[in-house]
Amino acid sequence: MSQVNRLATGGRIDRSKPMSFSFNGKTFQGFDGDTLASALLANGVGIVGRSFKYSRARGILGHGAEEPNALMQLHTGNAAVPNPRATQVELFDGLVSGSTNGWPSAEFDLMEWVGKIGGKFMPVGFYYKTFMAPQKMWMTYEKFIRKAAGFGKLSLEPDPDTYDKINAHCDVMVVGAGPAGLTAALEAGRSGKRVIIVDEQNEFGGTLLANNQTVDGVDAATWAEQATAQLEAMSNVLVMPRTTAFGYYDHNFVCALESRTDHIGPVSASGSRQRLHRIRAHQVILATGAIERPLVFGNNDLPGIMLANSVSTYINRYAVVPGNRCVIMTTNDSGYQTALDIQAAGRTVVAVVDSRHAPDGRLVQQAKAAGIEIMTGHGVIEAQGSKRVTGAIVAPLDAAGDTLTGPGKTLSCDLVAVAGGWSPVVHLSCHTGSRPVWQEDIAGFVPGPSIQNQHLAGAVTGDYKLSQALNAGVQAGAAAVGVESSHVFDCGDESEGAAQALYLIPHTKPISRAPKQFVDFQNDVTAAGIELAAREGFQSIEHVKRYTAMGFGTDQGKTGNVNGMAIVAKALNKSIAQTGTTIFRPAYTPVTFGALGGRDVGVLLDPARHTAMHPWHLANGAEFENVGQWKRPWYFPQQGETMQQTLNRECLAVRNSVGILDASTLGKIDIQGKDAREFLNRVYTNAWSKLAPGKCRYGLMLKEDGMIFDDGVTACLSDQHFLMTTTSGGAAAVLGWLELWHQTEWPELEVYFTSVTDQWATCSFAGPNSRKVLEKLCTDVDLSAEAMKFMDYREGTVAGIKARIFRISFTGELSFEVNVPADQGHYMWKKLMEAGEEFGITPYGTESMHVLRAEKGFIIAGQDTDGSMTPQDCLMGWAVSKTKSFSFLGERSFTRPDTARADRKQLVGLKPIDPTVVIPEGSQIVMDPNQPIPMDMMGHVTSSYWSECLGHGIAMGTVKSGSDRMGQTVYCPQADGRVLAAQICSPVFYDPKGDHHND
Amino acid sequence: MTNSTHNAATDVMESPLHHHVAHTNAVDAGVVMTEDKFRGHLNLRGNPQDADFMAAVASVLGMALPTEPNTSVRVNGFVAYWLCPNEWLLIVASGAQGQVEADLRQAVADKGGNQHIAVTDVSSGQTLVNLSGSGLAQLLQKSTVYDCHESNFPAGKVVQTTFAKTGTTMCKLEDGSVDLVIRRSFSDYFFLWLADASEEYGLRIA
Repeated sequence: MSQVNRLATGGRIDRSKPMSFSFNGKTFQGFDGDTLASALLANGVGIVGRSFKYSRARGILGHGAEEPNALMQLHTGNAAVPNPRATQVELFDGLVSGSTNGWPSAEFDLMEWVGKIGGKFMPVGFYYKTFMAPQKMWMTYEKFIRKAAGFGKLSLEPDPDTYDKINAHCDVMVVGAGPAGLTAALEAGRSGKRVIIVDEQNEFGGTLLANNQTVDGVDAATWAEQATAQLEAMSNVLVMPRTTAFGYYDHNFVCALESRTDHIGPVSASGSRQRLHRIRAHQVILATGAIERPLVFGNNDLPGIMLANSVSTYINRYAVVPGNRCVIMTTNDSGYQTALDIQAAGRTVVAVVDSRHAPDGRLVQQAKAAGIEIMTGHGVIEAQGSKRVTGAIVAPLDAAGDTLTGPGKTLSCDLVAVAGGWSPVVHLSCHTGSRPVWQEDIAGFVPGPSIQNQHLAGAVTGDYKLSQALNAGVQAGAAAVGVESSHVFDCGDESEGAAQALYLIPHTKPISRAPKQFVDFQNDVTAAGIELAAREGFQSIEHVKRYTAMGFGTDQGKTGNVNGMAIVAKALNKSIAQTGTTIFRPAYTPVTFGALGGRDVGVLLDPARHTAMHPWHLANGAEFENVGQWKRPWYFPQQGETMQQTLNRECLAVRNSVGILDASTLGKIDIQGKDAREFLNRVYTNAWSKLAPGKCRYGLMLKEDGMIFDDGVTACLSDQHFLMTTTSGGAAAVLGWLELWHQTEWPELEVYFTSVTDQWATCSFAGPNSRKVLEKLCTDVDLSAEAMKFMDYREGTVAGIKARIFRISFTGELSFEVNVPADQGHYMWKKLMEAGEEFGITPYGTESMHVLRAEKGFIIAGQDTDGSMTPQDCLMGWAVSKTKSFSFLGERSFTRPDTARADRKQLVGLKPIDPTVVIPEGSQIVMDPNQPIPMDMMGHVTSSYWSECLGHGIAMGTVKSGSDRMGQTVYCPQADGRVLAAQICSPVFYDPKGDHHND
Repeated sequence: MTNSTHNAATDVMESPLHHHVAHTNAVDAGVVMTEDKFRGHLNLRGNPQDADFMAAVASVLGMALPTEPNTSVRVNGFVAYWLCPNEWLLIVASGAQGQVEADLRQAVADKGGNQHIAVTDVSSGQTLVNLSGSGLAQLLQKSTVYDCHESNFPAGKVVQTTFAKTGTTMCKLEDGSVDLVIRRSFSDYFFLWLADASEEYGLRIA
């Protein structure tokens, strides 16, 4: 197909590089340098999609981030990208694109008839009002609504692309590389400071690229190229095109999304597709420009109705004239420039329709001189056409633009260019909490005061002259680096006549009866809808937004918001300043979740911590369990075993011979200093003054509220040197707790703490044969029961390695722990496996460890306790010393009435009446299974396992006054209707006298 | 206790990153990683206002401990990183940590007072990794929020910060390369991150 709207010369496209692309299944040609939008317009494509609610045909309105209609579905299969704006998609050869909606096609859409028929029955708030009742039907309604409306679709397959993130720091960050941004970056760059300048487009220059003015006598686009080259030559300036600063946060933190390969192909051939730059800047210069406003009139959403400035941009930058016969509707002088551009491109300007009665600016004079028909004091009140505009009804207006003063007439045309004034891009400045301020003289919101180190330059301040933008950029750049500059740019005569503030052009019919006058195209919000919202009592602009959906969606009301606010203000009889504006939040334009995730996905999502013996566990088929960030062996299944069979085998090995556990993950804190003992006295519930070197002791740690927080064994290495162990998950919290109390409350205590968790690898082996295993490898320590007692600690040599040997037990069996520097941990493990081979030494994981300790009634802090249990609640009053000279953390709370009352929940053993039953953990406990609901909840099951060595299920649980209920039967009703009965007993099921671990 | 018995046999000693050494590639790699394995790492605590303590340490190390925040001192194979006002990391020759620890304790004891110090061997709990190459600057930008630009991170400066989702103590060297201290249990994660982040520059393991 031919590019019917392409000019033979001009523009910034490369005609020597034709590119083929498809849209809705048809193939078209464009050129390198095109956007998808400019290429579609070059080919005369009018309809690019269907509207959200009424399914009306929609065409391209703008040329950049503001575009509300031209949302595309790009690429196919797993590379599918939903909802980019065609105006921001760079064309490449082979690009596959389509509309995001329209059924069966955007061109011929059946839903439009639903929209037409149902339109008058679908007022604003329609969904809220219609589909919220009955509530149970919402799920059904939602399916229908989602199918009928909505935009692009994601692929359900994994994304083939990668995304990454990078941190950057600079002295000056410049957002926007239009005229103001370029001069700001040049000025700041010349100081030698670190500068970053980003622009969302493929080329720097912004409006300079589509401008027919001169800068200091140089053609504007050429000047932009020269300025960009100067920036690129500065080693201290980072120049980033195709990068959108989408979020501006506290402390001048700016997030920018760099599109790295989107302009090359559907999937990145190498490297990341997009990169998220997390930029921390000392000074931020916002040179974000302004967006032209459409005007609100009947059927103003027809394809062929575009922003005037966008029409000029398509002509000057892309050599595309999107129509043959153009009517320009303007409230200010800038519309005349578009008329001149159209005429220069060889197409017909039917008329410039100007709402002002006596415009007399420089451009008006130029247009007159060029013979262009000008209708002053008129407005386009309605567009005609179905799939494309075919005519504009024009009628005379009074001076205020409020009232029609005569009958309308129809101008035949296929393009209506609308110039309704400008809206500064205040979005980024809003992100940091600065409320935009209405500026009457420019009829627009400008950024309000900011507490950031922020500078503004150019059109964002409401000053739209090119020379002013260039000069303001110089001043902002100089201010940001603390220098002065007096350079002033000359762009020739830029005088303009006064603009008229006009938003809604009146119709012959009242708003509610006139053809739809669209305010927000993407969300199908009309002037009538906004009026209705006001009539229904919505007064806050934020409420109107949410009721009508104005300003939602991917464009966030970039074109429609101000018009909508003006209509709200008028309906409420207030000024726009009184009505105010909604607040823009990040992101300025949509950001992929991929970029936000970066490389923190898959195995990199969360660090997996490994012990020195991890390779052995992997090689020996361990299944792993996450304990904090640690990967701990859960169990070691052998071929053909169920998990329960594995656990039974592992547990019996420990009870009957010897098993080995990797306990390296337990937190270890090295404590040194002459006040170490006193410190332990204060943070543990029990007494440490008399613990002799070479001895270990179990300790309970409480928070101030008297509740158990962590537990573990601490060994006395020498009089002023201790090694504390913590739970695997609690290590960092415990170290922080110790440091907190030492640094803030007891700095006078001479004690230092150092984490040695990673320093020591710990092999824990338990069972009646464990001593025999160790004796084979260790000859310099007397390991006999008499010489090395339960809870003793020795230094010795094991398998030729200096080791710390502890005789401690979490299984109830005779048990040793050998700690060696982790570099030798894997070796030590292998030597113990070798030495234990003759005894059938069996590696076991955390699950068997849980069973073995539960058989002994040992608690796991965090499983059997939940931050609401005292030592007494756990029947561990024996671990609380009442004779310490200084108090200990949590002691005072024991005397609180709630902590001291007798009917607290206590941790008891639960023996299922049916020995084959294992009660599910978490089961609620009741005393009377026949009690009507709501039943009295007496507690719950905290730990429950099958005990192979005992031949029945065992459990621990909390029960109100449990220690007084020994022998009573309790019941655990299940979700499936079963009621499991159990008898309250001591939690020590196995070897209650402790003969085994004392062996 | 001290740990001075080091058997250098490879099947006995395994550095945190030992199993990644085979992962060599990219001749003109933009990132080069070298694990300076089995160095002695000692965590030292003491009062820098105590002249006796400072003198005792200086007598063993042959250099004064750094007291300026985030700085390091490097003499004769000894490196001392300032970690906080009363904490330093000493990196000594492989296997020397036991002797240095004993010497430090003795030197402090010889001063006669009852100085409050702590010396803790952490050699096995962490490893020293050097990163260099043309891709280093961007690699660091990807991996840490700290500003590693020359103006903010000059040679000799020591920074305790995050590296991706793990922590590190890093020091800039005169040759522009960076030494990182990485905890053993996080070293596999560290390497996975490093390999991924340096893919576009090429990674060589020296």
